[in-house]
Amino acid sequence: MDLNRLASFMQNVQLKPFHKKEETMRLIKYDNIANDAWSELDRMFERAFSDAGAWPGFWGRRSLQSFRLDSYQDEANHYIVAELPGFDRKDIQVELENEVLTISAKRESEGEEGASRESSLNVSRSVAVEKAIQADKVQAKLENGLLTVTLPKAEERRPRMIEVS
Amino acid sequence: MSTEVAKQENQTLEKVRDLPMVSPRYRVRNLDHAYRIDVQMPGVNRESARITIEGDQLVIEGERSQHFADSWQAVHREIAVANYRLVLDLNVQIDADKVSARSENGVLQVTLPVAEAARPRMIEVN
Repeated sequence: MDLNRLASFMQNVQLKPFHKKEETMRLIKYDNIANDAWSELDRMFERAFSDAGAWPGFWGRRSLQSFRLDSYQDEANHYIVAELPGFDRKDIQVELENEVLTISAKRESEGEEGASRESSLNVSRSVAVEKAIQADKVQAKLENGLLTVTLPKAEERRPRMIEVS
Repeated sequence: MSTEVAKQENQTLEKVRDLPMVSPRYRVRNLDHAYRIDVQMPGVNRESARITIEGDQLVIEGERSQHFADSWQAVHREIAVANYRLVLDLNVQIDADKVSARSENGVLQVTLPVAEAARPRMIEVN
């Protein structure tokens, strides 16, 4: 199949499920083969395999959606960084139990027209953390949709210089 | 002295350009006589988001600040180190002077009012 035909075919296929809403006119032309030769393939891929950060109601399931996170460490701390765009500070819950850190976030409907199908969105991920952390000193900070959790390592697990006598 | 400053500026520009661009997730909503685009750009603050309208093309760019310190050692990584760029072709005439945007929790909300000339109009039958 030549690429142009494939592109228009894909557009027709995709427009149905995602644009059910009664739009009077379409604001945006889709990226097409003329703009970006890979756009159609990219979109297919995204829609088929990615659920991280998906808009609520995207797949019609509510609790399976997830978000991306990174994990780092340095001498003093462990760090977990999570992408949670659109969530307010009070919507995010960070819990540490039995060496498992759970980040959950919940967003209610935005109460706008067309939002009825996306009444709420729950996302949650758990990460196993090292045993030796100071659980009472864990801190979490939300900035521009990025959540950073700092888990200080226990004193006895930090590297330490031993003097030669 | 002055050449040195210029050189440095060029270097930072290069650096920004070197970062790969990823297309952010977005959603378009219909409002009365306006469209609203919500663009998810975690890690981008208000100052580093840029919205450009050129002809019928809307370009939204977000420069992300690094989300980790250089001294941190990565254990597991999923978040791409990249800047955001979204290019949309507008089908509808937009009142470019009245475009407004706000950023909250890593989501950029752009409101695009439809130009007066492009709004639907009732025509009375005599």
